Amino acid sequence: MMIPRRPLSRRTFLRGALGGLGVALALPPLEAMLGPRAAGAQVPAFPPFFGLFYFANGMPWHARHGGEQAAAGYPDLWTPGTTGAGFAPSPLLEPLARHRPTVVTGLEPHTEVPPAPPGQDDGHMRGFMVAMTGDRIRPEGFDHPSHTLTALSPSLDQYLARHPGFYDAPPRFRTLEVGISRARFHDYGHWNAISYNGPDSSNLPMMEPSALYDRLFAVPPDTREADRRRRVLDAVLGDANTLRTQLGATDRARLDAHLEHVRTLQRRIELASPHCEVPGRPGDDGDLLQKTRTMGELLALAVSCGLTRVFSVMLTSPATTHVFSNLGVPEDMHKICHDGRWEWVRDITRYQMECFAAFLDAFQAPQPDGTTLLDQGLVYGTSEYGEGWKHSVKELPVLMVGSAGGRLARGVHVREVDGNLCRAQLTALRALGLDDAQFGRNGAETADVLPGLLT
Amino acid sequence: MATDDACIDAYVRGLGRRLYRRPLTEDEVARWVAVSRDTAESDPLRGAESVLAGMLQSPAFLYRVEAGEPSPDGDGVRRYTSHEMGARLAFFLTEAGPDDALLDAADRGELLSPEALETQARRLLSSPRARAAVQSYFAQYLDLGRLEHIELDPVRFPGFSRALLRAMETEVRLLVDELVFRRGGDIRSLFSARRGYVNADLATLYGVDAPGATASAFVPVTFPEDTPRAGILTLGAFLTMNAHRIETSPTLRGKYIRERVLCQDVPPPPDNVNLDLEREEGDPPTLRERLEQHRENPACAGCHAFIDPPGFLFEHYDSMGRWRDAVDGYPVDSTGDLDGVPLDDALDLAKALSTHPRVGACMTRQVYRFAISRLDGRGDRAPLAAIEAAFAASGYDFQSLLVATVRSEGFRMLAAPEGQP
Repeated sequence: MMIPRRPLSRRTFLRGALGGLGVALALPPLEAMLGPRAAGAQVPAFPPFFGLFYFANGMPWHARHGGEQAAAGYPDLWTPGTTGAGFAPSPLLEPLARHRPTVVTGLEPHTEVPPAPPGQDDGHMRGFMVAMTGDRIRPEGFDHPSHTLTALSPSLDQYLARHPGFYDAPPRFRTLEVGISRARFHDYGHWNAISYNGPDSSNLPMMEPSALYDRLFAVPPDTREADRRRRVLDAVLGDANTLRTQLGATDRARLDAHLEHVRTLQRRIELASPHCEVPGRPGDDGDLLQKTRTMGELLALAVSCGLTRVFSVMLTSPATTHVFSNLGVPEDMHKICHDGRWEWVRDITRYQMECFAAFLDAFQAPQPDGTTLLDQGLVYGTSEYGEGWKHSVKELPVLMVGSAGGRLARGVHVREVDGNLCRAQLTALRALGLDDAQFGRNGAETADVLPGLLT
Repeated sequence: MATDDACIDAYVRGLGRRLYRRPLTEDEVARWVAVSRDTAESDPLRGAESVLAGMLQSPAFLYRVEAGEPSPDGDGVRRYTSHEMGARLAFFLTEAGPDDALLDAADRGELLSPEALETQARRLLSSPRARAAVQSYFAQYLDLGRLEHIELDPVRFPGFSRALLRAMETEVRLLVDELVFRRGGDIRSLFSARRGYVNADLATLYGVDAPGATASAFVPVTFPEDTPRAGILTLGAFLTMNAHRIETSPTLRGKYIRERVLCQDVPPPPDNVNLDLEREEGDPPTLRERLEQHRENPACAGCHAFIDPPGFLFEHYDSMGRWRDAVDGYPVDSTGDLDGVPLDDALDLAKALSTHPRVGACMTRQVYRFAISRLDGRGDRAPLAAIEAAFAASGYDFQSLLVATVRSEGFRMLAAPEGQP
């Protein structure tokens, strides 16, 4: 079948941003250049894309996070003053205003917390897991002292990419995962990734623009090489099928996940897209903002030429220890949250929003047909809890940017005090065309979308 | 042509045995010989390359397949097969697949007896790979990976650098290597021995004479009795990775001792407690006094009375591990306690840890978890007790702990399926 592709712009997305390297303008194939519209067809309904954008350590705290936060006396710089459309951006939302985000405030996780093993109520971990997966931490294997945990359910990106209602024919990359800051609270486990297939199976992000570039564009140079790779993978599948017969149900499921991955590799070889206007290979220099922008440009390109429709971005890793020395903050972010340094957290949060906005610029850039990628998809931004001083999970920030093919209202503020965080996730999934009756697990189940957002 | 076929056949069998850690089945041999033939084009090496690339992606290589077999000891108990034991042993002690000698022993079905396992374990422990694997174990046990991310305030800590952090890590590695391989002895003395390995930077940091030490050359030193260094908890790595950029952290240091050294569970702060140690106008600004707030607030007191007191013992060492008598003009108070036993300082703690019953038990448990690649459960209590007894009988010799672990039923028998006692 033909997968509709966006007509490609001659203005590459990867302007001067890529480490000062020149952009190689390989002329795209004629059919891709012209696009269906030039051939007189109707404007194609491009299938929607989904991006998950994660930033660490929540918001600067204020009275709505709890009693002691109220006593600290700091203002709420995040929640807009009015609800509905046309709200005035709050100070922390100003950097994003150019992308007309829809903002949902007041939400929190509603999952139940099992009493054992202890520590599952730690805001970092509980809030994080619900924000990523709509489910709680997997109690089996949870170990609070070493901060070892795993997901019980797939993260939103993987849930969507595996959903029968999302992909008809998966593109070359079912999902892509990238990360920006290298700082880690620990160098193991969930501290390295926000994307999960399920228990004990995370998708490590690519940490450098050059790595993402190579994944997207380094394809076998000729069909003979592609044939060879396919033949080798056939044999790998043969080994796996032999092994499969020896395994119990749990291990078989794990192996099946592996097989699925091998088949994905095979499919990538088959779908090596000739339709991309391949830019120059980016450098990996630059600060967080620059790196985020470059990743955004590469992912926008991947979406626009049909290489993927689902991606996740970990700007900073959970409980980030990133030192934002560029903002004059001398200590790592997790530490200054604990120390109650509100002004620094405010500055960092604003900077993280600037990074998010820079990431979105390429998705907001006009295409030849006058639309933007954000008209066709949705980037969902969130964090691990409400605030990092006392790890309150109240007022967990949620942003939805894009109209998902006209199904989602842009620039609207919805406020649901003490509302179930999974309602935002269900709303996003519905906007992307899924007909799930409900979302959320283990106490967080909901069948209610947020009001006034789906059109 | 026949020669080529024989050559490919031997190549596939040899490579497969090393990568899959067992002999290939005839089906597998046929499958990979076909890959080699089909992709060779005119160059047999090209076909061989395809086989290598493919086997490295095979689940038979990427996963350690442990199906087990019924144990002759009876009643539904399953043990690992001889080849599975070869892989378990090799990955545990060398962080690599089995070598030829181990594969040969596995082929002969030898690796089912504790005695043969001990023989192989002792052989592996004499290899350089085992020394590297033990380092990898200790890096995880002691959480050394965190060192790399430490940032200290450059104004307060002018000598701080990435090179210094690397030197601190190297020092721990050299001490571990000495205690496990080069000298042997009671591994628990890691927390009390007056030994160090210093390069020029560390010698300056500790204020010790270290003839021969340069930026890159580390020399062993014995810290004199009148110096405040005894055991790795008084050396750079521990002190630096459990401190903040400017201030120390008795809480982090105490937590590390509770969790890493004594295997005690420290629960997280309860929801919505004030983690801020507010500093009011006019308060004496010592960290200890601000931390005392932890103990005045009943929501915090339960845990912090457990965590902070051993951490206070280290207050004489700043965030980089330098000795100090005063902080911002206030004399240092390093008194604290461990489980109700009052102690004056970190040197008192070192003495206490050198014979503390939890230290050996904790090491046993950590090694056991590393060996079986999962957390221990109720069913592991008996094997753990047996290993700990053997460890104690050896005078807490670390290699003996490894051997006792390998011999243990917990390492040789498959765990009961989940949900069973």
